[in-house]
Amino acid sequence: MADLALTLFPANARRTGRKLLRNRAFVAGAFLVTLVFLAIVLAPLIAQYEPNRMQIRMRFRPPSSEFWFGTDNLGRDMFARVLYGGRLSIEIGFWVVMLNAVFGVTLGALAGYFRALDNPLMRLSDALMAFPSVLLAIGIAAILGPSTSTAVIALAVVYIPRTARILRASVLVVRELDYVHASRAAGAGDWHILWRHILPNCMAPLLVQLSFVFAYAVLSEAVLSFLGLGAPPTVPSWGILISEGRSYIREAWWLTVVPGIAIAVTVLGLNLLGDGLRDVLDPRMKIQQE
Amino acid sequence: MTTTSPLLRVRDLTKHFPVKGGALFARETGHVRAVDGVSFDLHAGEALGVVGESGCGKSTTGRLTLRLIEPTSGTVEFGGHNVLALGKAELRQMRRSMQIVFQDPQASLDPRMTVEEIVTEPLVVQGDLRGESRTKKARELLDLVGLPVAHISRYPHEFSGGQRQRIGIARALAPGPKLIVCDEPVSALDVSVQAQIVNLLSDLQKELGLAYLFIAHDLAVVRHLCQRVAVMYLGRIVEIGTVGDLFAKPQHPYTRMLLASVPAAHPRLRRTQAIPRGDVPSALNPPTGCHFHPRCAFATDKCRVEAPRPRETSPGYVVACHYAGELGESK
Repeated sequence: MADLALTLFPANARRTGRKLLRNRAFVAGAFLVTLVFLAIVLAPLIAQYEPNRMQIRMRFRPPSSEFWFGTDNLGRDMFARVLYGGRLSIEIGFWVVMLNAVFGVTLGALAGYFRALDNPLMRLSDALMAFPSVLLAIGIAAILGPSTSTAVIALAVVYIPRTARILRASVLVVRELDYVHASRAAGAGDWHILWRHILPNCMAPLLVQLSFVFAYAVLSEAVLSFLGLGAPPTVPSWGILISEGRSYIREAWWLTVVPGIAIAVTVLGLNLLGDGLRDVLDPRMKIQQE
Repeated sequence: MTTTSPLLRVRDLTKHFPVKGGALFARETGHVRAVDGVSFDLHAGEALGVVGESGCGKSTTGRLTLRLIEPTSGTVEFGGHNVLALGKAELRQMRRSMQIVFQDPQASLDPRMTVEEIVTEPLVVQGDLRGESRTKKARELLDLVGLPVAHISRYPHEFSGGQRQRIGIARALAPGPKLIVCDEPVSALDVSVQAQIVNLLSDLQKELGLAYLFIAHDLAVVRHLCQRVAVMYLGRIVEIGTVGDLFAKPQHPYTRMLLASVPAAHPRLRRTQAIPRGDVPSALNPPTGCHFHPRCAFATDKCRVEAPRPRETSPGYVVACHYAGELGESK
């Protein structure tokens, strides 16, 4: 994340980098997120068992030195299942962020720059934002049927209007700055101005917003999966793990608590990261976040 | 005044900004007459100062001239071409000859671009430059405005206010313009730096034969740099003439008021007569007749009803006052 900031903000790269490293929220968030990512990527090396290998005689083993996170009702190693399950959660979060970056930026930039498009685009986004986010995602997922791509599309639709709105607000400010007028006075066209001047100067709030979208996406994906509207794959996501473990919550608390902690740690890390980025890059946005 | 045709010819330039009410289905509830029938000529190599209080339409006039804002009506001719009738490609071509320098050197430079990228942007946009010639051209431009060539790959925040303004001037010079609109280029700078920038502009004018439309509210700067001055009040030019005449014998009561409000350095020279009274009225709802009558010491009933037409009191000297030339020394 720090490297990303460096490439995005060459002007103040060193100063921004130093400020980020001094920001406790950012450092803590970056640490947690890195930890989760490493664990997920290195899962085949860390986990002793296959996530789907059943050992019926080992059912409902509580956390121990052999099974760190215990075993489930079919004797599968929860440590392996949580690590592999995280892959899907993070993957979905990643694609939601990508779709947000592409469509949120496009819509926000169009609405902010071409004023005639502002009203139609923003009223549409108002309509989408009027629904509670999880309810809307459930609705879309229910219509499209449960699958990984359904979850990605549903969550993207929910968060794109928010990203678009934040980008639009930044574009509205930047488009009236004198360097934009100077560029126009030199004969630059709309696309040159948008691409060379406006978008680069709207990157800070966008980056902050995307880190929050990642966190919300991981959380909402768990909700969708829990309700049976996410993906039903061979390797379940964190939401599905919680959903499966719910039946045995009295006998084996670790089946729900461990994936729950995994979600909490990931979301907390992403939120801290976003808070830190925001404080360093764009202090004005403090009040705007929901 | 020379008899050759002027470089820039502005006639009856008018801009009304609509004021809208209502949320979803906005209706026009009125308009601000930011610029209201402004006419002037500017010759090649000449500097015309435009002075007036905040909100009188000076900056809007400058931007209308460059067609950064579309005027409501009026004509702008530049080098014989009607700027307002140009198509996209022709306008882009025309922009090479007319550039702008802004007031706030901080906001007028993109913080994400290096100095080289900033000063050569006009040429890149015009499709003249790419690659290595860009660096070479940037060096020439920096040299021209007195900045160390070694700073070419730095970013704007690494410079002081005065240096930033030099970068802004270098950018304006890049496409080889004949006219530069200077929109209060020194107002945001420290006094010591102001002098340097004014001298730079003055040198460039002589060296390159530039014409300036110099918008300012500092009369001393205008007196130093410009050959002619236009005084604006509420969207109209009330007096226009050579710097010598206008400063020595101002005819419009508003001009007198402006000149009298300049603090004199020596206490004995301070005059107490024509102290400005009242505020500038709203351009949303300007006074009837002469816009200046509510603040004017000489106002009569005629002034309250009939707007004075600009009159040429001597060749090249125009005043918009019913009593121009008849008023004695200010009371």
